[in-house]
Amino acid sequence: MENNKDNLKKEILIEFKGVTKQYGTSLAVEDFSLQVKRGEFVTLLGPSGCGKTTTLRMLAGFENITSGEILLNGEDISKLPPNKRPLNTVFQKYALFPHMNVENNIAFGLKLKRVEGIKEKKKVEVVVCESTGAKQKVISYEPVLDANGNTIPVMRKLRKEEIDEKVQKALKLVDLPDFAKRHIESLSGGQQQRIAIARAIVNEPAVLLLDEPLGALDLKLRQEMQLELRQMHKELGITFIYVTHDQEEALTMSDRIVVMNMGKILQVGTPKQIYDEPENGFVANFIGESNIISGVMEADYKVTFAGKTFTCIDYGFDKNERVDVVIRPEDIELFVNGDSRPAKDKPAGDNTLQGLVVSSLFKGVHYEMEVEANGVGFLVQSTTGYSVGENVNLYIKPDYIHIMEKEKEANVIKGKIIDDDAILLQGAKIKVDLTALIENSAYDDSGYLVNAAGERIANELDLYGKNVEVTMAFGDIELKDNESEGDIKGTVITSFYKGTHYQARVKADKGYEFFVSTNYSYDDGDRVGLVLVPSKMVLKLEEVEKVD
Amino acid sequence: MDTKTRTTAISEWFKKVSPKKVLARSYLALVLLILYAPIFYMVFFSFMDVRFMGMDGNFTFDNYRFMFNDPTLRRALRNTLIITLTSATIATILGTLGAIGIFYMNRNPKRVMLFGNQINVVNPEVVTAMGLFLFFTVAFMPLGDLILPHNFAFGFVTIIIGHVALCTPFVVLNILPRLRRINPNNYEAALDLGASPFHALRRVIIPEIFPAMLGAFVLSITLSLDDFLITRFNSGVVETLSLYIYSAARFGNAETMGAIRALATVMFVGAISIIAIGTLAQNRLARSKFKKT
Repeated sequence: MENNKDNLKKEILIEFKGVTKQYGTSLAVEDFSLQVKRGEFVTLLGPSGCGKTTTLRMLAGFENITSGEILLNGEDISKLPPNKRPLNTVFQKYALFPHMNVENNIAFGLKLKRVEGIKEKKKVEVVVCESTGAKQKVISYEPVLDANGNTIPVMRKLRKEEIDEKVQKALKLVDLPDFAKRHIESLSGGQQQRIAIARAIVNEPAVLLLDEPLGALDLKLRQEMQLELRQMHKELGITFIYVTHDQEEALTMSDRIVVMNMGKILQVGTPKQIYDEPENGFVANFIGESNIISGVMEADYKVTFAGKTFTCIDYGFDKNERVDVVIRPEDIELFVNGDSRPAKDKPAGDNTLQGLVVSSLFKGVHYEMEVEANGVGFLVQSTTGYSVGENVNLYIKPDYIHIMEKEKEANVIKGKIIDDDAILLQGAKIKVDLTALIENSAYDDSGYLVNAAGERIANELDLYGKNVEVTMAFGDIELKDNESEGDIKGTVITSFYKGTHYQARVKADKGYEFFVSTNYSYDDGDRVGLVLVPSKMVLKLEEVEKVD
Repeated sequence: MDTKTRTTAISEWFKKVSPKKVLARSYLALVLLILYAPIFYMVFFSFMDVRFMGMDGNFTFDNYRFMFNDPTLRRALRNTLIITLTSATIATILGTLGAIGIFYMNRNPKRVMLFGNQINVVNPEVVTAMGLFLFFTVAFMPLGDLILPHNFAFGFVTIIIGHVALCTPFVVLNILPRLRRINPNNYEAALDLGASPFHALRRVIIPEIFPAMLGAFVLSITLSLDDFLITRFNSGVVETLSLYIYSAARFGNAETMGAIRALATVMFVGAISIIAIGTLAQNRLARSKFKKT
């Protein structure tokens, strides 16, 4: 048992423990915890600015960590400088040394390396070839012995012959065996990246870090290199930590994917898990295309969306809990009435919706169609194309209906009363009607809050400075493209289509994350203004315990 | 050739050579003339046995003979070489390290340093010269008496310090753009491969900025060689080329006047040779880089 536990421990090569990186006041990486096994290929995946590169740079030692621990083989390496960490990095822009040739670039690390050995003396003999008379130098090494005739252990440099051999081996591995003497500037981008990989792996690091190494290459070369990197990983048995924003690349190459956004881990899993069972809207939307539709869990294995109850394989939700349903476009099967396919392939009744093809686009391997059913738009990918205006049936297999807990039912924001008719919410002064909060109150002609007798009551009730909780439905907030037109300014974090509308997640500058339903598509990072409709606000006074 | 074809040829020529082109070419010729005519004029008169340029005289090598034989001029040349090479070397090292330091600074201290560096560049040299003179008399002399054995005075040390102060800001300005062109990952890559920060600096950063350092060194030599004001204020009894030329031009006789023309000619030929050799070397280097083995 004890032994077993030890073995398990050995399996884990790298461990991040609550690693946080803060720049000024903004958190680049927040409470990042992850275990990486020896020999694993782990990909950090996320949009730009999500903290994936920062995480990699903290592991490599180029960035200090604000708090937390990074363990390698159980030892904390987070305080070590980069040159003392047994890791090597492949950079996006290659970072080859332009004044050295290929050979010297690759040998850079080897020349600095010290290995365990014994003290030796170099011997150079000149041998004259008998037949030709040509002179040849023969180099040999003899161990130096101490007074007792024993060898002396030392940390020695690698010999030139050893370095040459390793460099040649690395060049063969990256498929550029005759490039040793070439100058860096005479190489193409793809060749430079291969040399950069050779330069890193020649040092036989415990972990190879790759920071979007294929980002600067064209598509075809990138796909080729993906396969080669995967092959190299198998051959070398080195642990790879790979950073990319390309979800396809992550799915193709990794053993495990870590999806990140806004400095946080959203989901960790195998490519299949990440693709088939996304844990939230962001992951579902970021990894491939998805239909994300609001639904209600009627009972275990029963979910209602788009006006129909479907059989699914999920359970354990509350009765009538509102959920998000995720369906991949390729998992929806289309067929028309009177289809001539065998009956067993032709599902009918359960899990089927009637719909109308709204748009159809040929994409090479498949058709991409938008089908509207009961007012909900479905994105469907199918090898059979249907034309616009055609009535079709949509069949969704129970296995393909994935249920996610709703991240948020409504926006609940804390604010403070600052005037008779205004509250301070996320740094903005917002006009509200406070009469709903206080029984028998009204506004007088000058706009003061008064009781039934017409007396001002704000001071008496000690209203100013009181905390309120504002609840707003997703649809009661309006987004303005011009941020200055909004009450509150913010940045769009994600936005995805939910069958009938887009759902945007907007992070206000003061920190609150608003969920907003909108008819328009926004890009991640768009600056927007949020307009809160006062009549739609539900206000609640925060209860303060009375002290007598 | 009959008249008809000749006239068409001429009109063709006129069509080809538009008035705009003629104007552009003659403007270029004029600029070059203004730039180089005085130099060639001087080169010509370095072979004439006259006191002032423009006077009627005979062809002679006497000016050159005098230049190589005059003990005062030879001493001035030797002093100048010592001062120039020493101060250019110190300024290049100091400026390079300064530029690297400034480059890796945070934004605000970086701004302050660049601003401070800029002041030295735009500051009128006479102010710098005066400032140095006052600094040496007020602060340096009493201190010098403490550190060094007695009667420490203006001389080589003060000139070299002055020239280093003059050249260093220009070195910094020469090195910084080159640093900006380096891939910021290169330094990190060196650390990543096991190099200490010093080793990374020596093997990765310095080789990449070496051409700029060489340029800065040549620039420093020019600045130092040229300098009159700082030298004049802080030289003490040490004679340098610029001081010699200045006094010879004002108070010299026919021999010294001729000698400075010869000297200027030699310097001009030297400068041209350096530029030619530099260009050739650069071309050869560029070609070798793309040679495939």
